[in-house]
Amino acid sequence: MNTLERFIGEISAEPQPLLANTSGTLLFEIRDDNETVFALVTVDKGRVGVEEVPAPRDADATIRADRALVDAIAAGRANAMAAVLRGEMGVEGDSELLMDFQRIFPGPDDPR
Amino acid sequence: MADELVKILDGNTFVVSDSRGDIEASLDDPTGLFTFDTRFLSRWILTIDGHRLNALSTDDLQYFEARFFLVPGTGTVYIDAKMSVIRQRAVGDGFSETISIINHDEKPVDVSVRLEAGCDFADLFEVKDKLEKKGKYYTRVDGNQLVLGYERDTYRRETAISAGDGAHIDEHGITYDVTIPPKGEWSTHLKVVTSMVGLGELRSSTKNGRSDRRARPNMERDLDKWLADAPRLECDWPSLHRTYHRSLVDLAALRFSPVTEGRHSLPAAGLPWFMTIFGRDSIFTSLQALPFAPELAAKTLHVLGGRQGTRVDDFRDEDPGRILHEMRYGEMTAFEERPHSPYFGCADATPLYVVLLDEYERWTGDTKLVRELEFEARAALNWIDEYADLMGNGYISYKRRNEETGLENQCWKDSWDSISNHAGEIPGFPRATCELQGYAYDAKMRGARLARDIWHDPEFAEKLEKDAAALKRRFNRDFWVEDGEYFALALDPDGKQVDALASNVGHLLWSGIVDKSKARAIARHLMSPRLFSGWGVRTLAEGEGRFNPIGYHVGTVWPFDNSFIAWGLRRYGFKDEAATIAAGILDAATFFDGRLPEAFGGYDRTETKYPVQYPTSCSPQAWSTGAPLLLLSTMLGLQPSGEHLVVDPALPQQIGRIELLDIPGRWGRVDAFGRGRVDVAKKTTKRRRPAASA
Repeated sequence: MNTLERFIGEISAEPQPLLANTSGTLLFEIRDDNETVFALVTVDKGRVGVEEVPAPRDADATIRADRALVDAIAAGRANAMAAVLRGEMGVEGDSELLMDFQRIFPGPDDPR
Repeated sequence: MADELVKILDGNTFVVSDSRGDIEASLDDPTGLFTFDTRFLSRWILTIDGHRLNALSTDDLQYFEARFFLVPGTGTVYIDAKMSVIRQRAVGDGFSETISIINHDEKPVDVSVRLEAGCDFADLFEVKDKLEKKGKYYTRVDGNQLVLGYERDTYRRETAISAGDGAHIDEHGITYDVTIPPKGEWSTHLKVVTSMVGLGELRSSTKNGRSDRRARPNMERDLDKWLADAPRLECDWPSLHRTYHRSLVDLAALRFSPVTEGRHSLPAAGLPWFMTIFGRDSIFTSLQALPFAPELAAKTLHVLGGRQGTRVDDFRDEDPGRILHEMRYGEMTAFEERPHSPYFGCADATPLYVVLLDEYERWTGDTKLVRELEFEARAALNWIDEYADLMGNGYISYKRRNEETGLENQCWKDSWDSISNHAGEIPGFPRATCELQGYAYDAKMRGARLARDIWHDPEFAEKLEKDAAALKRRFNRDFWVEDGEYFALALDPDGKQVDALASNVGHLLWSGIVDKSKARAIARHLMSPRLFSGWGVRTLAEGEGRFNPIGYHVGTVWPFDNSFIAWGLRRYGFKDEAATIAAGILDAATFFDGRLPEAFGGYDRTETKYPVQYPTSCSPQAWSTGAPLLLLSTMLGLQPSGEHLVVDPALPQQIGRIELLDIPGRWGRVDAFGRGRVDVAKKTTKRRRPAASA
């Protein structure tokens, strides 16, 4: 299990107040060595879920990045906004949804 | 011929050229085509037969459109009047330009028209700090397009210039060899489109979409609607009319949609350095514009709430609940050489966020938004107690955790020397500046109202009110400078008073934290010759160690600052004093053709006769643009009370009769009327100074 999917799995039991006004779907196309994994994240007014899907499908936002970057963002070691500006993470569709969603990840200096 | 610069803008895309329409930027000057903090064109020079043109005149048609009338001829003496050249340029997603050449002669003429193009793709931070680039440039001729590009790892930015028919394109520009018939005209249309390659649909979006020909009517319609929706001003003072109109148009121009916020547009801070989201500036501007364009506040609250801090990140000075300071989109931010993705180092935007939410609801009755943003507002209130009390003494103070590229002063006076004591000494960190405590008090009081009336949480309301009352008591004891009868500018890390007298005391009146018994002394200081220049209140009083009438935050007069000081004076009943400040600032506006700069010199009005613009100040700047609006509503004494709008005018005599019609709010639309009766000369204390000897 990878960091992004594990993180979302852990928080999916409780509604997330940070996403209370957010709804939509985000398809993460994650490149890992020579395969691409498709993780479909659903946000429904604070409820978050993730499932692996076999092929790309329509989503409100499609995000393309390497596994290492996605996991670093989910672990709070990398910043999604800077990665997008750098072109290291591609976004198509509703980029605001990605910006809303990435707020649930921890920060680099959070007390642990 | 680097005379007057011509600026056109739309949201955060802007073009700054010389009066011929040419762009010839060096690394450290802010001319060119900019969007999202990046320069997308640094060279754009029109020649005919190898010669530059001369400018006859320039029309700023609209804020997003300009027209340049030119003639060939290199010398200053001989001008060949047999040909005229007109360049018309409109900003959009990049810009579009039409070049027309009219042959006045009775013979045909052969001309070689060339546009030289180039780009350095500088980040505005690089322009500001004169830094070198780290990536590689490339150029490509692509059909009828010239593509200029820049690449650094995965970061790519491109400018595509499309030329009309008959163009020869090379890597340095576009040439047209044409024959213009007698009394005939030739014209061509060029489009300059910027892109952030690799970001899919995350591209530079302006309010009105692409810079094709469709965009212009949209922008005109949008501006017409914006002006029609705002209240109508009728008054005897023509220059106030002009200032009011200028303010509304500039506010429209400064609205922009942040790259990731397609649904919302909010005011950017100011041209040229700050065409981006600033927490503080957006909040202050939205407050100023509430009686005129309340939707700005709703958008600001939405966007800033959506980007509120959620985690601890020292590089970005982020904490949970903190409202952002500044968002940037350039290369240095992308590579984390600057922390602006976004940066949170700002101690006032968070309490001010709650202040705006409450004030917005008082005007509009939009309880839905207040309920929607309950989590954000509570997180902001929590930030004040949990994260901002760095000294553990119950006061908001600030000290950056990003010591390399973070901001030292996290209050509105954010230059390095803005906070000092009477002797001019600069204190250490953390610093608790006085106005922050006022904002915290106001946020708690207003938060209590929202908690009681809208979130139905009377316990939380009571706690907030108790905290606020305790804060007010402590503050009036700890910050009060007994012998001078004013509030100290700040407390230093040892809790000692930083005892300079500054304009910040005016913001304290606005916040309501000042004990009634102390208010008269504060009003007296504000109107005294040490602070009041005749145009407005100086940022720092004359006689303070670091006072300098052209020091950015240590002696200049800031129109925005004065608009809130006037509001503060009204809050404590000093109506005539508020009118005096309003009269001074609005008089100053007439010298700038209705467009107040960010700041002007703090020289005495009787010495200079006109307000001296601060050398590198931004213009237009959102909160200066908003200042006349707030001054208007302050003079008219507009105040929501339940479902009604109270009007209680106190206007300077020179204004004469004034009507503000169709003021929007929870009451629908209502009108306000007033007549100037305040003799402003009476409200300022005369300077006593020895007569100069011959």
